[in-house]
Amino acid sequence: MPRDGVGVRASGLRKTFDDGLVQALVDVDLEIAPGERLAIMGPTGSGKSTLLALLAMLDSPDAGEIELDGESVSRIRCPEEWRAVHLGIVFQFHHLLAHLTAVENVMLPLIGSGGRTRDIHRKAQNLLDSLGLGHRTLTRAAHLSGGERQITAVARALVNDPKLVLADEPTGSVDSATGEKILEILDEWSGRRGGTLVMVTHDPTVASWSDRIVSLRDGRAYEGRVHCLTQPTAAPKF
Amino acid sequence: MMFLESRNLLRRPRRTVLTLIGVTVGAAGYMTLLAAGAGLFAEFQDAISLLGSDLVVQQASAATAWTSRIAPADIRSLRSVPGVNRVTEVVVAATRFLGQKYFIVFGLEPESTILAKARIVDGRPYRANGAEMMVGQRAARAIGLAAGDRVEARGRRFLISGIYETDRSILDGGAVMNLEAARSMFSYGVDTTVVFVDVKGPQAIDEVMLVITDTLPHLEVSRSDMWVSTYEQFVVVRRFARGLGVFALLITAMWVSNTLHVTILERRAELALLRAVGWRKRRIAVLVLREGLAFSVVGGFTGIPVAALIVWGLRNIGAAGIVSAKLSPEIVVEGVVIAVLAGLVGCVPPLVRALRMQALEALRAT
Ligand SMILES: Nc1ncnc2c1ncn2[C@@H]1O[C@H](COP(=O)(O)OP(=O)(O)OP(=O)(O)O)[C@@H](O)[C@H]1O
Ligand SMILES: [Mg+2]
Repeated sequence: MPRDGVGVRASGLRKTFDDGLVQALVDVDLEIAPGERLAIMGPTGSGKSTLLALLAMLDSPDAGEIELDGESVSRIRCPEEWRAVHLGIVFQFHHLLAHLTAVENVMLPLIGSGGRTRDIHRKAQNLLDSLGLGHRTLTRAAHLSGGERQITAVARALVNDPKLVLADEPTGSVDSATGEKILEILDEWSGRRGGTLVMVTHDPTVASWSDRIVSLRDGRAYEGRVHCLTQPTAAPKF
Repeated sequence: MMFLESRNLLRRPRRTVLTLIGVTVGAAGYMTLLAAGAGLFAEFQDAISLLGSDLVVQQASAATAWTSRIAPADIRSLRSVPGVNRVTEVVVAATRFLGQKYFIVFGLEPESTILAKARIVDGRPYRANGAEMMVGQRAARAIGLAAGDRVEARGRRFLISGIYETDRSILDGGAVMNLEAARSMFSYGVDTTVVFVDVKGPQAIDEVMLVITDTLPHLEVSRSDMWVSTYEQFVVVRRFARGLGVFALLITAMWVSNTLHVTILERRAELALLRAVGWRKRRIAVLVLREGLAFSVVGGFTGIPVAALIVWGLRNIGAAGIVSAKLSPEIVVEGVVIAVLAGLVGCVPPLVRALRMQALEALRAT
């Protein structure tokens, strides 16, 4: 398995919503080295999810430039294909398909690119086993608990052995033991794969596990953890 | 390959059943209307072939038999055309009669052979005295008449001398009476509506047609077997039926489109998620079209028994026997093919919409 994380560079990123009324991102510059583990922190509404969406090419910025592996994303002709090969995403709200079982949800990214269903199934099953969810693989996503959904979502992000993972609060709705389990898995992946990890978190201990922290406040990015008295004292998910 | 397709169809029974109902109704409607049109057409062809004559003559500008007028002078001219063996005058009237909205009365010459093959199931033939008529058995059943009944129609009293049966519902759904009686009752004066011409031998047919067309340009002559085909009214009826069929399909397409659209609204996030995890647009299009294809093929086939049921119902309650629909294999095939096409076309607009939007936008919607 090659060890090759994706280098990410963003410059002058700007994103507004509601005809400019909401400034989600304001002149964000960001550089992430290949194989780096970056934590993004910041209060609710500061633009964290928006930033991840831009990096994933799920949305396009109003201004600014994003490079993945030194290539401008505007030059990537088929973002879907790029994501299929290189990217894993853990969404803040899981986005599992309710009528599919846990293991089927994990299989989904690989199904889209073809390949033998049996092999894909085995791979997804092994991944869920290693995450400690082996006993729930045949349960439909609709019937999984919140934490089980989170684990399934993490497994789905890793099933294609990506070299970049964008994770929006991957430990946001699980107990601390499961949270640790998820970190372990991400750790194992980044160690083995050398992949780049960008992780949004409200949890300082999770953040301290990473190599570097970037904070977002009102759509602006700051290096390190920004302490501020006006920052909400209670992070929403903990 | 069918991993997600099969699960989407089987694990969402509500959506699947609703969509199937839509396609089934559309396909059945289309087939039924085509069958009704074809049935009507076949009826007339049958009735005409029963007459056993070679040529049919009617007024050139008339759209239907009952609006055609042929004067006695023309009858004489027709009789004098070389090669003509026999000329039979018929009055066809389609009117409100005996309480029926739409009733066909045939006025026949006493020596006419038009009913030669008819079975008289009750009573006896009518006498050519203008006070008697025979009623087809379908009409008799619909109105509730039996031989020996007396009825009053258009101010005249008639004896129902008998009930006949011909297996031709255009005839069985009407009545026959003396030519003269029909003329005066329906105010045709001395005119005739349709003339049947017998020719001396098959080789003379073309020659006779040519002479009639040349010397009597205000008349229209056609071979009996072709008469119905050139019969404008029924062409119109068939077009109308097909038009209705297309309309039914449009409704199907809209239903399918709507069902798929509603579910694609629900599914927008799903399709967006597939894009987010690396499914290409083409693969997603294949997914949606495969599901649409499954719906429309199954719906097309379940439409067949439904259409058969409706056609069976039409045959049994068909007013005065004018409609006797036939569900032929051609119609069934056409119905299924058209249903499949309509189903697929219905898939396209919601699909295009789902693929055009930013993946994130759709994901946020849930
Ligand atoms: N599609 C959208 N339409 C309108 N406003 C939006 C949209 N997406 C994001 N926003 C706004 O942009 C700002 C940043 O949103 P974002 O989701 O990036 O915040 P966040 O940092 O991820 O917050 P949280 O910690 O609650 O997840 C918010 O004010 C949000 O309301
Ligand atoms: Mg967020």
